[in-house]
Amino acid sequence: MLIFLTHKSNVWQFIGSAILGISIIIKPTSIFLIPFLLILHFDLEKRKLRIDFSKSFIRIFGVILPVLSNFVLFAAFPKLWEDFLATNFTGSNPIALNFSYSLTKLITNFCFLYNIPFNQLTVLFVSVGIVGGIGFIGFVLIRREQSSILYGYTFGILIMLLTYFDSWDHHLLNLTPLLIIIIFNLPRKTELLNYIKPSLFFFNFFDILFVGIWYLTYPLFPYNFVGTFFLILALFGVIKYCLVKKSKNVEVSILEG
Amino acid sequence: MKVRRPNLFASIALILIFIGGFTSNVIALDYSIGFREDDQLIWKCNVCNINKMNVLFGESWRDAGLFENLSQGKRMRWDVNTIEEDSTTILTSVNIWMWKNEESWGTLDNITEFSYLKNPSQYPTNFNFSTYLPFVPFWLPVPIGDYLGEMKLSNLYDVDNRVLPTLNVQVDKDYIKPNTPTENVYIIAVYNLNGILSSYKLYVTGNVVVIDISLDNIPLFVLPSTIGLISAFLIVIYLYVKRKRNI
Repeated sequence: MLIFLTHKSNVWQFIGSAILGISIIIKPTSIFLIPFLLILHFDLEKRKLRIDFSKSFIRIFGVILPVLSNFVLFAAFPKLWEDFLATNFTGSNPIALNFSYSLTKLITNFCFLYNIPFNQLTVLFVSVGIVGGIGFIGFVLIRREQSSILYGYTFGILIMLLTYFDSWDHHLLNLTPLLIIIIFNLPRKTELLNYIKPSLFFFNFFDILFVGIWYLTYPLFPYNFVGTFFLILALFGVIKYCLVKKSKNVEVSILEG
Repeated sequence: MKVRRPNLFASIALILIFIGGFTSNVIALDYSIGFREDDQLIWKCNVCNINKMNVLFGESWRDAGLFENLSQGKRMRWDVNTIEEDSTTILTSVNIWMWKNEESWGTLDNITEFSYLKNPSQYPTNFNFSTYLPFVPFWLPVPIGDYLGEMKLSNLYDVDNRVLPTLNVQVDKDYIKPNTPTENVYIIAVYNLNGILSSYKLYVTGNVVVIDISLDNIPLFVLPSTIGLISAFLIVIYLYVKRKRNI
């Protein structure tokens, strides 16, 4: 993100994307960041859509290139591909009860508990479609383009945490640094902090407690819903940031401090 | 005395502590039974689609074994008679009342002995608990996660100890004999920390549950914990919103 913010040249845009691609290979939790690399903006006042094709292409190419190298392995070891799909999407792991705080998991846990037939992939795609769609529209309509990559990254991580089956506490390490930067990026007395600060506070100090509580309640109530609530609150805050008109408080660039 | 390079020494000390932490886990576990003599275990069948089971496994699937006379709403009771342990084996004898609807249990149906090796790694490779229904045991030695983890189970089983001790089973079409089962069947068996089966779900493609069995007695703390969680959440949100509106 620092590279995207500090270096505007195409070479650095490619390097930044490639680094993100490598991070996706190591842990695919940041895979939903990819659409937010697009430089795409719809100006609500002028009713005009603006796309920076060349930079968007360089970024997407840069991030996809390392990710594609995974497919070399999958082609060499087809069993690896089958097991990858089973473990992450189609097998019994996505069905079994656990304390994930994602919306998808809350739905599948509900269906599991009450024996409601469901298809875990359908639940996943619908969740990604709704949450991802709302997030992406918010990102495209952003009224302040100065630090849009920060909000794009935050959207990507929030969408992943809200929609993937297994969103566990350690995944919050992807989100909390972004929330901290957002707090510094926003004006000091903005109302938007009412959404971001409680969420950051909860994720840092209380979320792990609710994992323990889940073990006490799961036979009757297998829903770790409090984390979901604060994720939605943070998402709402970021969407609101994107959509509300600029206040008189002058925002500072992340880089200016 | 002034210590030179304190960061280096601190890093080495941390690494040693971590290594010590890892090595201390490498101890031989003493497996035992998670319940006691005279304990009573009751399972309830919440869902049983007999017609579907007849199609999958043929009409004789409920003639014998732990699914004898199984149907929706019935309960099965185990009373633990004796527990014996020696250096190699864990053995328990239980009185079993098979699946019944009635409130009064009447006379017991059979006395059954279950045994496990104390050292799970001594089970042969590709071990199957059972090659017929229910495919999974109703209890296992504790600590159950370690016990399952040490067993070299066949491809039928997938052990998931990440959150709850769970045995995932995939019985492929024609696994038992040609046309039995008639389609792929999946089982998720979840155990509690005492090694007792707490939830058993047999389902087919599309997560359509055909059999659902659960332990009848939910621990006492579950209901107050659930009510407490929901109440505390609502109260905190209410107070936060109220405070913000007053500012």
